[in-house]
Amino acid sequence: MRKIAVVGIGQTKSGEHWGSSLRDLAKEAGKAALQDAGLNPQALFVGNMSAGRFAGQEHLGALVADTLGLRVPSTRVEGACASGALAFRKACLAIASGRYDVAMALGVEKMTDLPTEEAVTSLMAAGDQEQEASVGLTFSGVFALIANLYMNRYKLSREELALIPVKNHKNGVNNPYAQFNFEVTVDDVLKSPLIADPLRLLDCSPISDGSAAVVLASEAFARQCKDPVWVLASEQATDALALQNRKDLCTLGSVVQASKEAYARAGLAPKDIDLVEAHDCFSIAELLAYEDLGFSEKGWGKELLISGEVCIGGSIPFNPSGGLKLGHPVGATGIKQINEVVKQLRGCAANQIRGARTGMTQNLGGSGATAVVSIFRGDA
Amino acid sequence: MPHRSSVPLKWRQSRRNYQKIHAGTGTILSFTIIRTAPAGFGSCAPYAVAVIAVGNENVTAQVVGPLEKVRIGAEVMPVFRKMFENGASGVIEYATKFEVL
Repeated sequence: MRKIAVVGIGQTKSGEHWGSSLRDLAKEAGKAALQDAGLNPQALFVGNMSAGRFAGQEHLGALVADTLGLRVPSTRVEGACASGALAFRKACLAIASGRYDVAMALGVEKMTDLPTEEAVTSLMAAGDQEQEASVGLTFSGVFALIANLYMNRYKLSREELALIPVKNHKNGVNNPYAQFNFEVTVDDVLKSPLIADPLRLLDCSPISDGSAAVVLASEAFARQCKDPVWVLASEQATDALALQNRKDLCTLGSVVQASKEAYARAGLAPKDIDLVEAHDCFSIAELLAYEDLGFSEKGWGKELLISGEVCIGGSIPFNPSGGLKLGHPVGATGIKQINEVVKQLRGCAANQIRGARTGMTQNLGGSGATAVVSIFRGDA
Repeated sequence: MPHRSSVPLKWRQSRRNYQKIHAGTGTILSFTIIRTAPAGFGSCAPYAVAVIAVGNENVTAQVVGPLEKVRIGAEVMPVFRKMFENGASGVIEYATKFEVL
């Protein structure tokens, strides 16, 4: 396959952008990425989960291309909260095919114009309408079902699970793009309101507006740019849409499969990865990622947390940016994660991991029916 | 027509599935208690939703009765209950829920 590099990144702050439209957000992130790359894309892929429900706007491919003044083929890609990484992967494949040399992937979501109840309903459109949503299950509820069984089966305490939001809030304090810049304690997590037992408010990612973009280039074009970050692998896998139809409720089979394929394509093993930006939409999701990405045996993920190995300074930092806990504009998240890994590999991240050379992103759609795992390497 | 969140006709036609689910008891594999409910379910919250093993299949359903009786491993029995009133016309939808034995 042709070598591909990320040569430009851009993102907005995640948050409640009441003064910015869907278009404004995409423009801000897209312009920043184009300026950073200094190359003109020949194709555009837009990741977006549900602008039709959140903002009454479909046809995002044309909207974003038009907003950025690009008259190039532009396609919207949807895979729930993995829409961003799917758009990224489509852009990679478009370049790998030889059809294009420069392509852009941009994710955008504007979620805060709806009342919470309607936003919760819209997000649940990523689940199975007939088997899950129809009985009043929510997305926090789906992950709560996983958390409850996991805690019961592997003797994970509520206090131990709370260490994940505590770590990620701490990491996010220095992140200028984070929705929140404050620390929380285990006690704060345990005293926050129950959303879907056993998950509490501080276990959940927020409802966010935001956008993120990357410009990708073939090797010949990337060599002209400063600080290209090479895409070693970007693999995608699919599992049953409804949680009830999975082989094991505590394993995200799509993540296991996508990561195995990503390691194989990159010729690497978990020990070669210096940091991971993982899909911690709910605390339990990050714990599953330790295991399903191969950093721990099933049921032992909490050891990495208790020992601090997943903290900044540990052997495998997870979410040094703060992760989704500090902003989850669903269709943009996968590309936001790539922005963070690229900054780490360029050596200019807010919480720079010393000597970081190889980074990973893991983006989930729904409760893991879709997963994308990508591996990146800096030039330095 | 009022907005429908699913396909009620399919529920009504799914007699075979209904008979299968109602053939015996099930076991709770995992459960949660929904406190922030989606549109249409607000008046029921808090309510329990569980993944239940029934024979060789799993179903996702609400569990009625006292919330403190709902636990992993509990044996449950299917019951026919009101699910919600659909749209402004207030057409009542029914569905299978479960009760802890």
